Order: sequence, then structure tokens, then C-alpha cells
Amino acid sequence: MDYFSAFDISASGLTVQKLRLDTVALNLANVNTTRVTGGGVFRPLEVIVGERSTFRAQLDALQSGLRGMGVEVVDIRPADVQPRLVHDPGHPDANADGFVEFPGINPVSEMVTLIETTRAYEANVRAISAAREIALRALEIGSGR
Amino acid sequence: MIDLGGATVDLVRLSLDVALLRHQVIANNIANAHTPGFLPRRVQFESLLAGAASQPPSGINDAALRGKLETLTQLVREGAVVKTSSEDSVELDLEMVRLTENVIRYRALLEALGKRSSMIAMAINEGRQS
Repeated sequence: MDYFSAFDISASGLTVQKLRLDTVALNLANVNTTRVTGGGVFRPLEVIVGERSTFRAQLDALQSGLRGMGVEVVDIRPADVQPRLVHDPGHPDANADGFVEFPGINPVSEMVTLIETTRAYEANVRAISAAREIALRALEIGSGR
Repeated sequence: MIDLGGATVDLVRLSLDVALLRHQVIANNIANAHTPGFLPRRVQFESLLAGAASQPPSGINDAALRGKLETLTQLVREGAVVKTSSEDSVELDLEMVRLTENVIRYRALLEALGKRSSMIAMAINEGRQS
């Protein structure tokens, strides 16, 4: 049993939640982006999260019976959403019919993800402080009172 | 070697290990709270302990307890106490409750260990308050 893998698990949770938060921020910032490098309209990104399966984790799993330890980002990919069409013939990115493609970002669902992410981040922080307390208490074994 | 601890200390040691394992399992559940298809896990140890605590016909003695402890330790080492829960999603609030409970359990175990060692200390000091 080692105390640090407990920190490691929660730290992986923090990393993933922070990345999800970054993605939400990126999506919200680009809500009106009609052109990106490489052409086309900005497509909102989504983060695919999976249970971590690194070599180290596999090794730990053998020792502790946990099949995986922690969490990792499997993929960040453009979400499969249709662009929002706005009629604005004067816009430089308007197509032949006068429609401009805006990213199909739903601010409400982004905000929900934001709140959810914040809560999950907090929960991981709490898990770290619990691990800290356990480790510090263990240091007190045998220090007479 | 003089055995100062007895089966109590071994039992507390095992329970502390299990508490740490449980913390890791809960932390893993929390970290994977939004992982699609993830099934939360639980550590089932106390039910095994209850089975082991049933009194042997020869009365409670160190040797009998140690034998049972040996079996339990083996189970924990093999990871047989980690079970996949039947719930299909992680309830974050319940995991936080379990986390808090686990820390309190850990502290209680250390408290028990401290009491035991103060009894030994009293015996060493021939009953005088150290």
C-alpha cells in the first residue's frame, strides 16, 4: 500500500476536469467564430474521458486488485453538431444564399458542463485533502500522547 | 522476540491497509465520475471481518485469531475485497460521504492502536503514570 497512488488518482481527476474546463472556455470564447485556420466554421470540441490504463496503472492494478487507477483524456474531438445558419448577406463569410455559418455551440449546455466540471474538481480536491489527512495521521502512529 | 502487539495490532494494521485501499477506490470513483460506462467500485471488508470474529469453540485465543487474520490478509492482497458495484453511475455526494466516513474510521483505528500501546507502556512502567 502506498499513500502516493491515492494522490495520483485524484490528481488525474483534477487534470481531466481542468481540461474539460479549458474546452468549455474555448467553446464559449469561439461562439461567434466563423473562420478558423484551414477554413470552415469553428466546431465545438468535446472531451472523451476514459479510465486510465497506463503501464504503471496496470502494475498497481495487479498489486491492489483495482483494475484501473485514475482517469485520463482519451480524445478531444470536434463535436458532431450542425452549424447555426444566420441570414447576413453583408458578412464576408456569407455563402451564395446570404447565410453565414456560426458554430453550433449551445451556451446552456456549455454552462451546465462548466458547473458540473467545477463540482467534480471540488470533489477531487476533497479526496486529496482526505488522503492528506490519512497520510498525516499515519505519521503519528507511535508518537505517544 | 517479545510479542508486544498481539493479534490486535495485526488486525488494526490490516484494517488500516483496507482503509487506504478503500480511499483509493473512492478516489478512483470520484475521478471517474464522468467517465462513460464506468461502474463504481466498493471495498467489502467488514462483512468478511464479521465472519472471522465468530468465536471458535476453543474460546478466543491469539493463535486462532492469527490464523483468520492470515486468510483475510491474503484476500486483501489479492484484491478480492474490491467489488464492482451494481449501481450504474457514480453518485458524487454518496462518494463524498463514504470518503468522510473512511477518514473517521482511519482515525478511530489509530486511536485504538494508541490506547493499546499506552496499555503496554503502563505495563512497562509498572503501573506508574509515565
